[in-house]
Amino acid sequence: MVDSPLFKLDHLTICQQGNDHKPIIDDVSFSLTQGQRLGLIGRSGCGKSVTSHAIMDILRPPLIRKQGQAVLQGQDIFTLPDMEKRRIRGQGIFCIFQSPGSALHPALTIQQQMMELSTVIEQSPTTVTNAIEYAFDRMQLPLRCLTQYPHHLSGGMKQRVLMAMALLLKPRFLIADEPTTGLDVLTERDVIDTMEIMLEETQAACLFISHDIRIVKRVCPDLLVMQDGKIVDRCTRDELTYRDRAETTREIIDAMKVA
Amino acid sequence: MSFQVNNLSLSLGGDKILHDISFTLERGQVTGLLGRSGCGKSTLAKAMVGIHRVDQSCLKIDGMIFQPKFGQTGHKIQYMWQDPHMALSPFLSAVRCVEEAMETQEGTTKTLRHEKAQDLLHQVGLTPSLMQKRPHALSGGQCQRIALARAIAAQPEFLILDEPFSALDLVTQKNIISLLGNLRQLYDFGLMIISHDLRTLWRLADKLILIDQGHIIEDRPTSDFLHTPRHDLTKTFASFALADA
Amino acid sequence: MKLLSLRATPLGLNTGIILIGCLLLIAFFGENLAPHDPNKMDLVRRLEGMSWTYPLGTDHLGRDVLSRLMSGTLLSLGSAVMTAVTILFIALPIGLISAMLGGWVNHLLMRITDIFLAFPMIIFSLVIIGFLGASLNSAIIGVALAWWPSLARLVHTLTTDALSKDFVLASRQCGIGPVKLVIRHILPQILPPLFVVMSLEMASILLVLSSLSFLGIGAQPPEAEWGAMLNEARPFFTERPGLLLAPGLLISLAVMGFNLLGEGIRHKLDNRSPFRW
Repeated sequence: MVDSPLFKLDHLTICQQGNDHKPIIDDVSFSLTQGQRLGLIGRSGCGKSVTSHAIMDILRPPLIRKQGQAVLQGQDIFTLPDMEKRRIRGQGIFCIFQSPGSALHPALTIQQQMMELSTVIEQSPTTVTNAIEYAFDRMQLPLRCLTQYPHHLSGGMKQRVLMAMALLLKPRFLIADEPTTGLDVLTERDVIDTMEIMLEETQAACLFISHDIRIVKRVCPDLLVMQDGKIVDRCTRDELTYRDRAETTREIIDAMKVA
Repeated sequence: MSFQVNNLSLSLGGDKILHDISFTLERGQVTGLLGRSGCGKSTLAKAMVGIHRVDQSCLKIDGMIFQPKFGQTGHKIQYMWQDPHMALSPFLSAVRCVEEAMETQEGTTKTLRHEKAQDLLHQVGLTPSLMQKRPHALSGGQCQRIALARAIAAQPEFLILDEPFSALDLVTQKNIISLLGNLRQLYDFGLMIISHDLRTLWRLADKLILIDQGHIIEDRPTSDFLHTPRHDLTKTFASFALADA
Repeated sequence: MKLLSLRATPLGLNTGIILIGCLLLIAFFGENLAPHDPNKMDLVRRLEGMSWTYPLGTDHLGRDVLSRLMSGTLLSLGSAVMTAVTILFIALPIGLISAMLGGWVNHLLMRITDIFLAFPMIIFSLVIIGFLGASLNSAIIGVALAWWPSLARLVHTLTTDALSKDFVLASRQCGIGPVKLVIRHILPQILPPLFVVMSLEMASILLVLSSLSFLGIGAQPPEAEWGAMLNEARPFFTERPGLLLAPGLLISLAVMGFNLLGEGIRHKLDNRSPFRW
């Protein structure tokens, strides 16, 4: 590779407090270049979500980071002061979580929540309003959503509102942590479609986390396979059919054929 | 044996959720209930077991009116909840959970129930050490197995599974599907599976029912459903299933 | 802000446990440990200050304040516990039954609860005590009768919530009867939050009982109850303020202990640790 990586995760190890012998995440490293889409697949409970939380540095107390660096554009996120960290979340790294319902404030309208971003991107309210309208248009959201509260929206719509926020913030690196869990297949397709539009527009790198290899294969050319907190396989999506892959990978491919 | 639903309509909180639903479940068949989220699939299933009250003449078993009073119908029809962790008591071990389902059956003793529960859990693939564990120490797939064992312990004629796969990863889904096949051979119950994902459903189901906004818009054998879809929504769902096949 | 966060830390919980533990020890062994007979009068040495014989001085009848405080602990805490138990005894069945049965029973029981709730609590207990005659027993009954409605409402809400859980519905689907349902599935869900609330309420109950004794309609002299001691000390406040301060401080300590304990347990049970944003 000629270009230096945009984001680099180095030897991330996460343990439960007071239990150093069995790490939850064991020496995980990977890197992404600008605009690269990397899929992270694995069975449930293998540590996919913990990895995404660790990158955002929002691990919950029993879990602690033992070692590791997360370097975004030359800065190690973990060692930054809190103020800087907050700035990086949003415009540096943007994360779309499993349950969009809890990611939006229940007592504010979508418009209010979108306008809050204007303070972050430091632009005049009119520019922001235009940007919001543009973002909603791209995400195929009707403008009437702006005046509604999160509970009026369906799961897919909430997920797309988050994507619209990403479109506004233009993050360098997007983490999508099981963004389609709990959505029906048709909504899932819509959400993935809009996510691809968003990624193209912002030119962000993307780490796409899912247990469903069918979606991951659609979105990402490169794949990581995780099992018990370790990366057990790295491949491109064309190599997936090869039989000499790691056992976990084979298991997941098999499951796709039957399920 | 067949379970008939005739002109079932249901309103909850002022909104009419189900409109004139009619279909028949056959005991020897696997029926798939398909639809987008929020279309009324789960509500329909809950009405069938009596969690939601519906008009008396709506439900019939073999032509006889069947008025489900929730709590007394478990031996005829069992509903299995979507989220396997929520559906198991956090206070009871796996084996106690399955025992509980047999408590109201006549002629059982505590030891008999215990043995039967262990047998059932063994059949669904739980090791003896896992049987003593409580749900929070178990994975989603293991909980789903326990929930299945409990449902079967109640000896139902029909079993309704509400999105049994959506909370599980693909490998676990595959294992549960093959388990369901084995259990059906052993216990011979009619099966209705609710899902939004035809990709998993079409290999299992003999018949598919598609619901949209509280109406049945398609009710046909699986192969017809897939190859000669009549509605746009059917086409979309079918294209998903066939794309992977 | 600092103080608020202190209440929820393990330090707060530990302080609460230590405070309540000490009080319990004194409650059970206070009578034996007390340096003097709490009711022995010594009219020559009345209203004396601190001394080696009388570490906290003597009251207006020459009784040892320390001994009276120690032997009064059992009565003060005991009556608060009795009140709490009586409240639970009324509130738990009413809340459970109305939530379990639903329908008209629910409406009837909850309307009765509302009617009780409509009266100002302290006035209502005053009426009951007035009817029964002033004594510690009638104070307990009065407070319990005025207090149960809010708790019955809480039990009702908790039970309704517990009943709607998938696993409770699953057990009902298998034909489990209401009694087994309550014992096996409902109580384990509602008791932990209920105990937390009760330990917080204990503090208020203690205060109310002490106030009633202070007003002279709770524990009667010569019983050594903290509130009654406050009442007796009232006329001598200017001469010997320590006489008022000692039981007052003890009541405050006990209230603080219960609060810290309740808050600590609540914090322990509440495992939704917030994200570090």
